[in-house]
Amino acid sequence: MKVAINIAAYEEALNIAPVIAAAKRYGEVFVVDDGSPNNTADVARRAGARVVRHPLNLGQGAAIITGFKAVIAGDFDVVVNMDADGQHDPGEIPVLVEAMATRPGVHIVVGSRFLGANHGDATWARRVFLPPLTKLINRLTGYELTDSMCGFRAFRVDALRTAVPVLDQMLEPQYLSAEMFMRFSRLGFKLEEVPVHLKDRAAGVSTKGLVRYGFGVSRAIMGTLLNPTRGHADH
Amino acid sequence: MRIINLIVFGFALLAALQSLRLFVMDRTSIRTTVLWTTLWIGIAVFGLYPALLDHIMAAIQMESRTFFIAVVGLAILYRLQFRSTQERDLLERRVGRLTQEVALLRYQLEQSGREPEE
Repeated sequence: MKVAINIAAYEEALNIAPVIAAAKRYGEVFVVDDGSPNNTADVARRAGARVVRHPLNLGQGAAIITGFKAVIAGDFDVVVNMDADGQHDPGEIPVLVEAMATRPGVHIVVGSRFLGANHGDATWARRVFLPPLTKLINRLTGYELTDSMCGFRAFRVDALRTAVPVLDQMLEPQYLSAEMFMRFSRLGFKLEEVPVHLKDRAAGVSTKGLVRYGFGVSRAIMGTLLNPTRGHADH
Repeated sequence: MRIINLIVFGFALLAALQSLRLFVMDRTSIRTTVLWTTLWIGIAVFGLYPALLDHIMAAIQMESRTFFIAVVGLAILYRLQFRSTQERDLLERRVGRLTQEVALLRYQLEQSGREPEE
């Protein structure tokens, strides 16, 4: 299977080079620099990634979608999404790809930190809020996720290609996960989970604030419930 | 007629003319011009003939002038704010889409070996 790795990055000049170096062993690395004010794009390029650069900061979800489109234009079979901050272990990319390869009916393979050993970066907020949020998403989608917010996921590129009109109409691309699962479940995408291990962020601080993130995810869920077929007519 | 009526009328008329002038100078859209010119002309009319307000209130059987003005004023303000928010949301969405397209176009140019000009 021809593998692409899609990494959305914002101000990750300190973290991204080792992530790219490790991920390159498993496929072609695409980095979408989401309008970083520092030299994240240059560092990524020098590390050997194909770089797409947003002139403005749009949010992680929008950057991931841009990365999807860059990958879709190539001839890849699978795209693996991962974070730029070193939390996801590139050595586990084959776990996701293998799961995709051995399950032909599956469109999405999601890494779950709660299937594998829990890790130091499961802050109290994640331990408290993630399980009920995941339960809610399962209720709304019919999936049986244990971790709805882990960004370490693999997608079948053929499936993504058909989902582009839906991706273009995302209400809250900044808070991609909840809306994406809800819309992809409507498209009939099948999903499997595999255990992954998350590490602490290598350097820097996360730009995700708990309250803002919570409001954003809530808005995304409400918006999707109000308009569940947005973009689906073009699918 | 009191001096304050003439002041309100004069100020509102000038504001309406300013709206039209900005449109002629191509600095506002027709939609904005119509909206604000209508509002200012309304204020000018009520400024000159405040008794008109009493006729309207009698017609809709409302007794409190203060309440009537507050309700109408708030309704107009909320409507304007809603429109403004709506347009801002639409613009944000369009800017987001454009940003993504520009990024992908630059990437394609770079991949094809042609560096985009800054």
